[in-house]
Amino acid sequence: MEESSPDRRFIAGLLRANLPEDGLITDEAGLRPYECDGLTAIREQPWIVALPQTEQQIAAVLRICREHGVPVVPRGAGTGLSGGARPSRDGVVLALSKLNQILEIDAANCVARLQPGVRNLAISEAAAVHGLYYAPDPSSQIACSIGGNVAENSGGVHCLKYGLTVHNVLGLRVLTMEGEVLEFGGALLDTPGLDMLAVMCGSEGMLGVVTEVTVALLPTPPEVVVMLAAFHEIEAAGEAVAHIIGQGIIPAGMEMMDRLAVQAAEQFAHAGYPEDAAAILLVELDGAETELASLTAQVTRALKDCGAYRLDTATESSEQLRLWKGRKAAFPAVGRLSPDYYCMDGTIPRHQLANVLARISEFSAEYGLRVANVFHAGDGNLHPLILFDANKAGELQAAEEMGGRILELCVEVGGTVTGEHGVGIEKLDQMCVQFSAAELEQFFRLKSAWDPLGLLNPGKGIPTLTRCGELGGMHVRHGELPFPELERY
Amino acid sequence: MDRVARIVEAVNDARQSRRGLSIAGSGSKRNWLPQTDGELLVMNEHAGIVAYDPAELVITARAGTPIRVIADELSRHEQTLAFEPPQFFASGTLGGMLSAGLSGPARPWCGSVRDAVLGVEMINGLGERLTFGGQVMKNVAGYDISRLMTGACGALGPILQASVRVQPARDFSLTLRFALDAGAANELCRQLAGRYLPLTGTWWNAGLLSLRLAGSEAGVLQAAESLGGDRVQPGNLWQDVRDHSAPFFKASDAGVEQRAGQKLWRIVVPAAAPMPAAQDDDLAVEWAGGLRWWWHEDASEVAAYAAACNGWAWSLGDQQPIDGSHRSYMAAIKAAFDPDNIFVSAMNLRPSDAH
Repeated sequence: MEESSPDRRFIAGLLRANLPEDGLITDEAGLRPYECDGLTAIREQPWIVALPQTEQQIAAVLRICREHGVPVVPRGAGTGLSGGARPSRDGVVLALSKLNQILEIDAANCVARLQPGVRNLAISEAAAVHGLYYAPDPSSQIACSIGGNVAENSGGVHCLKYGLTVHNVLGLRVLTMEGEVLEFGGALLDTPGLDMLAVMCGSEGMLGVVTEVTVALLPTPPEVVVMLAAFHEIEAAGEAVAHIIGQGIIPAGMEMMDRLAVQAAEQFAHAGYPEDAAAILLVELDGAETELASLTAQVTRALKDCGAYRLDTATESSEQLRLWKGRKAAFPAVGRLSPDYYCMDGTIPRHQLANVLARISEFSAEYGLRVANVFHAGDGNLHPLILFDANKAGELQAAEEMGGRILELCVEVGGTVTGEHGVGIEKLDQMCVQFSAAELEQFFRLKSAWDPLGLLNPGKGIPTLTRCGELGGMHVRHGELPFPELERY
Repeated sequence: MDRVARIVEAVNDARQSRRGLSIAGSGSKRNWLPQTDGELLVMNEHAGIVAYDPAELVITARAGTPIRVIADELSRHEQTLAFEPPQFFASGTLGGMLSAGLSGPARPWCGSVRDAVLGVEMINGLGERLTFGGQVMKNVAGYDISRLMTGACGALGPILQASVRVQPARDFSLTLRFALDAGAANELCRQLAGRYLPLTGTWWNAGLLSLRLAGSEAGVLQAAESLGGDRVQPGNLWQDVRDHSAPFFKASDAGVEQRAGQKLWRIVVPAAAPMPAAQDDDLAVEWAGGLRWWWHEDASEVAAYAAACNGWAWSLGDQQPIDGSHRSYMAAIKAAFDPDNIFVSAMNLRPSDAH
């Protein structure tokens, strides 16, 4: 559609009539914050942004867009890191931030019912008075929305022990592009029929618009211990992780940082991290007092047996915050080392860590770009942070290319191209490597079952076969050549 | 043994000749799922553990692998399937375990079978061999088809192989017993739900509530101290609850019909929901109140009760209750995987019902 075409003005008028007074943004300055999400390198000015306050207003927006073939890009807090909320140029950004009410904290059933725009941390804050909390804690939790968490199947430090969003969501209310209101689950431990809750989690705003979420609340653990262990070799840190899990201990959280990440974090946050370490491991244990004492002793032994040359153990809350401070500041800390950085997200089998880091080191030398590594050690989710300067010719492209190769390496060693940030726009090419043509087509057919017109968040998440064919990075599985209909010479 | 080629051939044959296929394992869920009339595609020969790395907390096996074989291998490494899959009639395969999507007494505290699925290899209704997910928990590449396959009762196609998350086995366990009526038992369970306890199972029936505590010895003993009750030797109680070999679940015993006219209803409700007006002998409660079993002759009374509690009820051997718009969207998903309706499944979704 042309700028300010009669069609656009007409549709804007329809939208305006169905939204509250400040519920439609059309001016350039107002639109700018919606050009991108947390992946700021990828921007697109949206045509228009709708800010509904009620489910009925959302339904009206979807109906109008369906009737006029207008794409819709749902948006939570805009903290996503894969460009999942990047606007469609001719589409509506459906911003859900105003649906931010906590509808109910039901302590008797240990669930919370929430509108999609409720901040992740706000859930635990509201549940605290009952001695309950919401476990999935992505690092953006002070800002990110529960609706966005559902879209990305978000994790966080504590997902090792307490699961991802999909493990903690018991109910969803979803508006489809077709105009249906579908309600699945509730304060219930399972549902009849196909598992629609599971398929919605991680669907990146492509299947339906979530208007209500019911999540499980857990009792707050009575005691917490946080340990920091320093190692002279990355391999030793990886061994320690395997050793702890091999003893039947699942810590509440286990995070690893390599030397560059540690140095950056220490210079920024002054948490007392050892800057000479090749790697550090942060281990959090939780539980009741008696069992925690013996757990701590076991983990201490395991860390020392694997060569930890320094071990800090914090039982006091303020000390624990200090130990975590560096890890939580890792990204902004790394950001100080360089004008720009590119945060990657892949998952690998844990035993491949040393191998993958060595290969990343080789890439780093090849491209002349430094990489700091932060690793959710317990579950294999790796965040290489590629440092570059966008003002230097070719460095952004080099960073993106290196990032792509890292993700392909993740697939090569038996992992996946995205552990928690989602595919969005960013990893479409790598999806061509991870999945065969038949698998991608199966994804499209599943999408069509929900959104036959393809209006919800188009162009995200699943690459088209044409894109994969053009890439040349094809995936041959079981000897079946993908895209057999395309000629090759 | 790897029987993929034969299975792919069977699916393609069925497609060619437009015959319906019913995917079958050991038949252990025969009391649960309605009969299907397709030609049987028996998966049992496609069996064997493919990969198992205790330190990575994942096991990968072919669909026909008996659950017992997997459980035995895990226990050699002091690990377990935390969701306690039932082994009805002392049988059950990995494929059936996933397809039926049933979890045991530990579900509320240890997750469900669907929670534990990391990846599946399957064949869709176009005869295509597809792999989704993988062997790692943190994985959001593409839609979560592995978890969609779980509980789908074979409607979308046979599972060939799956990777499942395993957990360390809890090494110390204790069962406490309390003499309470159903309402008081549920009150107690609700109070306990808000406390941090190593609880892994609850079972109420006929005036007795059993609680299972499991974890470290120190933690379990500390919790038991604070809870009171009688410490009892559970014997096979928890296995009998899991596998429905407890007397409560039997319609008849030694040839004597005990439950004339009654059907067994599986009712999932919010845990704090009031108890139904049922005879003590006709009612059992699991999952700290979230799962209730009711032997009853009046289907509409059960359905009304479940609806009033904002839950759902399913009588074993019948279709799961899938209504209106849910059915049309689920049928559309069925059509996305099996447009020619090759797979005849207990979850009776037809592509023609799609919206």
